[in-house]
Amino acid sequence: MSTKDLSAEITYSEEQEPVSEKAASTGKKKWSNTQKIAFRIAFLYMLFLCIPTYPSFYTRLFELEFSKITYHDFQSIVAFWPPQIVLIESEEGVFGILNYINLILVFAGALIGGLIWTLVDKKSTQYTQLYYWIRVLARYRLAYGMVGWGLKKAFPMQMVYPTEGMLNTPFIDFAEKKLYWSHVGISFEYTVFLGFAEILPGLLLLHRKTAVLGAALAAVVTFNICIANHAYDAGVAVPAAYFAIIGIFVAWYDLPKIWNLIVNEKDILQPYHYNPVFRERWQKYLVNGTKWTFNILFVPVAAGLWAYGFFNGNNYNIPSSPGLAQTKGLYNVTEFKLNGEELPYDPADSIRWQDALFEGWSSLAYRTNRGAIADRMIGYSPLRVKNNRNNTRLNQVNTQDSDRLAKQKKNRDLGVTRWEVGGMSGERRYFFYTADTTKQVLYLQNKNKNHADETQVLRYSRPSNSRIILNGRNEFNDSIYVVLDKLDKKYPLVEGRQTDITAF
Amino acid sequence: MSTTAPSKDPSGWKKVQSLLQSIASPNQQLQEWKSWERNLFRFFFIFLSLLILPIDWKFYKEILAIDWVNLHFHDLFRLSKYQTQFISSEHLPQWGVGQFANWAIAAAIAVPGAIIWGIKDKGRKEYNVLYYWLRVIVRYRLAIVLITYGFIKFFPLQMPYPSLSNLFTNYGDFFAWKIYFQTVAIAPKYQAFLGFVEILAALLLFNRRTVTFGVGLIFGFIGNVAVVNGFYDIGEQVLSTFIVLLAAFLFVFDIPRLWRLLISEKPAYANRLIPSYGDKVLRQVRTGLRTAFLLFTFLFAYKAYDNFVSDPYKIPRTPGLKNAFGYYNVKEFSINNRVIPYSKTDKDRWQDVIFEKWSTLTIKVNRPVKIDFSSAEEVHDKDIDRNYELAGFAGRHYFYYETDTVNHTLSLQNKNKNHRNEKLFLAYQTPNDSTLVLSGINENNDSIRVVLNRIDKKYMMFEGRRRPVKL
Repeated sequence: MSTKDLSAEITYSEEQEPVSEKAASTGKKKWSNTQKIAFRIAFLYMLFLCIPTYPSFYTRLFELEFSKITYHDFQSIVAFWPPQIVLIESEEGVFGILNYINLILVFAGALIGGLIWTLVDKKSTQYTQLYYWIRVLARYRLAYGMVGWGLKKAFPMQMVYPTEGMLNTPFIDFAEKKLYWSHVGISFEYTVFLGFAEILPGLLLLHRKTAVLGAALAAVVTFNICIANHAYDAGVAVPAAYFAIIGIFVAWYDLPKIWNLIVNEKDILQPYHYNPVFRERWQKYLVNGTKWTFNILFVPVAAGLWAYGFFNGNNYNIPSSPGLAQTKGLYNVTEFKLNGEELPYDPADSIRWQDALFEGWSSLAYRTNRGAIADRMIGYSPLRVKNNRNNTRLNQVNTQDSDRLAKQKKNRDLGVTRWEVGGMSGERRYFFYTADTTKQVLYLQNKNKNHADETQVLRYSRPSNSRIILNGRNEFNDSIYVVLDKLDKKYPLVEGRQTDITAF
Repeated sequence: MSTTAPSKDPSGWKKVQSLLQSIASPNQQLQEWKSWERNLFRFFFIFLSLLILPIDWKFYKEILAIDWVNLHFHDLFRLSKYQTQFISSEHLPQWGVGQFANWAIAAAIAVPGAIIWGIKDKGRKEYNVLYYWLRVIVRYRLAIVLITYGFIKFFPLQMPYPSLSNLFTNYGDFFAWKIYFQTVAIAPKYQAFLGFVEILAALLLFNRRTVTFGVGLIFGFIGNVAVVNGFYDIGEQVLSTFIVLLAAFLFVFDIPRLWRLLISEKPAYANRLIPSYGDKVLRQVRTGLRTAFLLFTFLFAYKAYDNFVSDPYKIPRTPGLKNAFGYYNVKEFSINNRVIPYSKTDKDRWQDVIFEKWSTLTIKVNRPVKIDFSSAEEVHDKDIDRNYELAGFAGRHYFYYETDTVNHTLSLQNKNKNHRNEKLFLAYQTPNDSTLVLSGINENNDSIRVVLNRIDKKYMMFEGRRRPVKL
């Protein structure tokens, strides 16, 4: 390239007219038939994907009571899913390729719709305006979704630090999904970082000029989430893929230009972007009003509600009732009597406790050699959409109902069990308790929803700081007498690698 | 730029210079740079060259130490990680900013270097050609390290599947870095996917025109690794930060034009400097280096694959006692003929025992472990030194054993470098398929007799994934 060419181009750019007017003329350029057909299909597909199509979304929306709104309500608004046409309840349908059936069926619908549209509409030469508006819809849908998903990590709730129970559970007794989530939860900072890795693309999507960057980032992040969900059967592969599809659609608009500029090394002299021009005042008010109402609702207000929940004991994975003072920790079961008869420690015994632990909140857990129907932490999102609570074989939708309980003014802790109990084998049983500190009695109830009928009533005494004696009726109505001695246990995970302690 | 040359052999240096310059056609006029751009460039040119170019004699020492006849992939792996060490890395702190001391030294040299260069090279308007060459160096440096890290994940060597003993270790007994490794390790296909992404990024860097997309992948995936390194104490903080720094350096090239295209919505101009390799010598050097890179890639891929299928370096090689693999309850335990019943508190009484597929036996007993704090990244020939299975854990005691199948004896030695003096000598009997009886001398020269019962049960990690379970 000669000097003259280059300098000529630079002056050209400086003298160029404002882009929008240039664009207005380009906007009238005719589209090819292929472009038109492809657009019609893509338009319908995005429209179906980005508008909530199932009635329960709207009924729930109108049932909201203003005074009781929490971050859960905001999340269920931004976390709506694409149309659920069929439900395949086989293993493959929940975890495998058939899980994508609805995304595929909707595409088939868009394909048919697009062809019909082609037959009906012979006049249109281009869809520049329609393309703009469908991108607006897709952008904001994805943006609020990403921000919502990010907020549950930015205020760490989705993944939280391992409980005492988890610290004392072997790796093999965790479900893989639980392991995947926990490994994030062990680092508060990393969880927050991941939250921002989702929020940032969301914020970039809110602005037209940065949308392509946000969309590309969102697509990369959610694609990785999708793959990881398959690798660990963590249940939200399809919603993640759904976000990735929207991200690709939004980025598509600018990608050819970026590709030409960077890969083909060609100048882009007319970076054409169509922007609607609003001439009437009411149009401007309407557009700006709608935009800012939604933006304020789903970004700062949503963030505020998450923050409020996080700082005010409404973390959906951490119970909020405090436990007995100064009991938190792991205990050796020094003595155990069943109906007056002493049972020595035996790892094979199904009744005798092997160890016990108190959480910081009101939970008492103990381990025996007896299984339980495990809460596998599996929440398959599309089933939640259908509100189908009957399919317990593949799905456990009702283990996380803290918000419902709280709104009914009940203790929410029995609905905060998924992190503490879920995804682990049932040999350690977790009991919620209410303590009568004057009579020194604990009223216990099993936190595993599959065994919610198990209750115990145990009197407690504390002869010393490290000793707790329990006696009363266990879940089988047998009388037990248990002496617990607190262990001075140091955990490598808690102490960390940058430590002076060498022996654990 | 001739003035900055080390003036020993000006003609030779000039020749190199004109060679480097020859990629731009002589009458091509390139855009003038602002003075801050020139200053910043001078700094980064020196800074990055110091860290990337093989100017460190220790690097050559490492090359010379390699046994090329029996080349191990790990030799190439270490070379690919190498950064110039003004201070040898073992003299630097393992954590905190102190790790970055060599960067500080490079920066301390680069600042005055850039100032002197600026004074001597006053008339200079731009450094487009030199910038191109610096980007070439950075691209290849980055591609090489991504290739090696990519392949040791693609063939899951970096994070091998957890051993049975690892699986039976409580979550709280792990260091954070080990939890991270084991969590990735239980999904080998995911690990292979992560490796594939790194290899893909490297190949995108290999081609000048796709660099931006490679950089995007690096930000998305390796950026995450760098963050993880910081929060999980994984121990490769300097290297992972270096990767992100180099990727950011490459991305700077594209920011102005992308900004013009997307944000200002003004005409954006493509890269002007399309290198032409008209000079024969330069062309040959280029072909040679590109071939060398591809050869390195293939050689490394082959060597990594070979290691993965024949002798994964983090896993011991010798097979364990035949038919013994499994998790055992210690049904009976006596020491000096005194029976000790089940106990979680007794210092001598074994609680459970695991035989690995390889010749490792692990014991759970209420005695503290002095943890192996290393990352167990070294290659060891002897099984007893292969410490990945115990590094970063408490909870169990790990013993290497040698089996005498004629006399039915096991001689055990603690694998942990802090407990190497513990040696046991035990005879074994197998009265039935699920029972093993061990008797002999323990590490304190006490006589012990142990009856082990294999426990076969179902576990959440394998069963609970897709089906409802009661366990």
